[in-house]
Amino acid sequence: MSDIYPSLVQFLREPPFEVTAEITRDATFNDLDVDSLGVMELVIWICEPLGIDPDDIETPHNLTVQALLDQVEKLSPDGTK
Amino acid sequence: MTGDAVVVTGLGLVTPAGIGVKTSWDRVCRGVPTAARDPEIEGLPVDFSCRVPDFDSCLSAIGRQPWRLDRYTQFALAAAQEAIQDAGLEPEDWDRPRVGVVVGTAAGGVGTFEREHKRLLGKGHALLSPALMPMFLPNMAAGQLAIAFHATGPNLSASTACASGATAIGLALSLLRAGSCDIVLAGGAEAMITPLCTAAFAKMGALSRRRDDPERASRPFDSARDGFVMGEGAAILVLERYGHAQSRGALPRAVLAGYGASADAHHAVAPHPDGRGAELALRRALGDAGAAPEEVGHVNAHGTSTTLNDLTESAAIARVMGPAAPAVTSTKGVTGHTLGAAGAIEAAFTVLSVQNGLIPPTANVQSVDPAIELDVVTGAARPAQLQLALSNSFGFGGHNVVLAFGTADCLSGGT
Repeated sequence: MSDIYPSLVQFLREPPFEVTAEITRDATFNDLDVDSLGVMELVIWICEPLGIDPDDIETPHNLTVQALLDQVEKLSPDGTK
Repeated sequence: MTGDAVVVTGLGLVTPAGIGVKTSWDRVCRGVPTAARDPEIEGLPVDFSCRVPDFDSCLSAIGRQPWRLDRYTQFALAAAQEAIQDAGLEPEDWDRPRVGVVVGTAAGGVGTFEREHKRLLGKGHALLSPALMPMFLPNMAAGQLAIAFHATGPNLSASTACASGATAIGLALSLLRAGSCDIVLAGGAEAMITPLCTAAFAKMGALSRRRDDPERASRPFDSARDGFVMGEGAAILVLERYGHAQSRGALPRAVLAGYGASADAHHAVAPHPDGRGAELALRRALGDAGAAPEEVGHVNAHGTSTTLNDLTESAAIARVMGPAAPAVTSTKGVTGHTLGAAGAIEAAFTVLSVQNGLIPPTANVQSVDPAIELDVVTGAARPAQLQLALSNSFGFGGHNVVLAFGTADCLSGGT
């Protein structure tokens, strides 16, 4: 998980997300003030370079950072962590 | 003039002539053209345009996550921010349900639409941005203004092609006269200088082909004009009933005295050859303002620099005004044609003309077309005390809109 997590934090800090809240693994995207469209956008940004189909990622309302990382890890072709 | 008169208390401009009212007005009055080669449309039959200069540097000032807004909405937000400040209003404090928003645009977020379509074809549907729809929709500038400035009153968008911004201002006037709002943020925004739109306008022969001399390509009323130059930008006017402005001590820049609209009902893109629709809109605006042609000191013309528009528009102006012959200018010589934003941008310039007693020159005119029998202001800005001035806007589809602005001097002591 250590490879993706720092990238995800960096994504969230920069435009278009510009999250200013503290980012933790347990935080929901709602906590981070990232709305549903933002979560979907983030999923695309993460999935595209890994060759994962973004439509395979589930994005429920209470999705946490960790839950997203778990899904990406599971679907990653080379088991990226 | 009563407290029910509708006045302009704030202006905001984002134009190829500059960001902000002062910068834009100064360049327009100096008649310095803005057209230049545009790398984003390189390789097309027309590869020059009038861009808003250095706009990205102000993005951080228009609120959080501007990157999730299409460029046309970004323009509208920046213009609204300036207009609200200019009017001395505090959105945190205003009576939210009494504040309306009307924004015109011809194509909305077409830049985002084009980019994402390319992505769909290249990478497939799964990688489409989920923000495409909320960035693209033509009502979104009005919606985002309401969100940014807590305006929960009537919220509308207008789409009448290149008359959109003027239509929006006309609709705002109706809302205020009907008592539906105390304040309306009204104007237009456009960001259509994209490869597809530029190629499409070029294909229909609407654009100037003066590739060897782009700076002088936009030349309204000139004998050698050969089409318009694509521009972009936004203008927002703060409109309110005079009684409301008085109650908060605001000083009006001008009075929005009249609005006239008509349809050519003739052809999708060509104006009626006799300018009948334009004439009707002019007469209606004068009638709405309760004014006679001889009271009009100035017309900010639609003046696109196309052969047909300038000819038919000038004929309509000449017929309506008769021997009164007001001074006519087209600020598109400087800004290019900002399409759905043009009606609002030029309305703002007309307000500034009335307020400052100054008519900007039509840039790039070397020799006025002899078929155009108007007093075209060329060379340098012309000082003039204006009681009433008109702003013309016409759009594909045969939409014609004329706005009439009167001096705020008539308000003093008369209410």
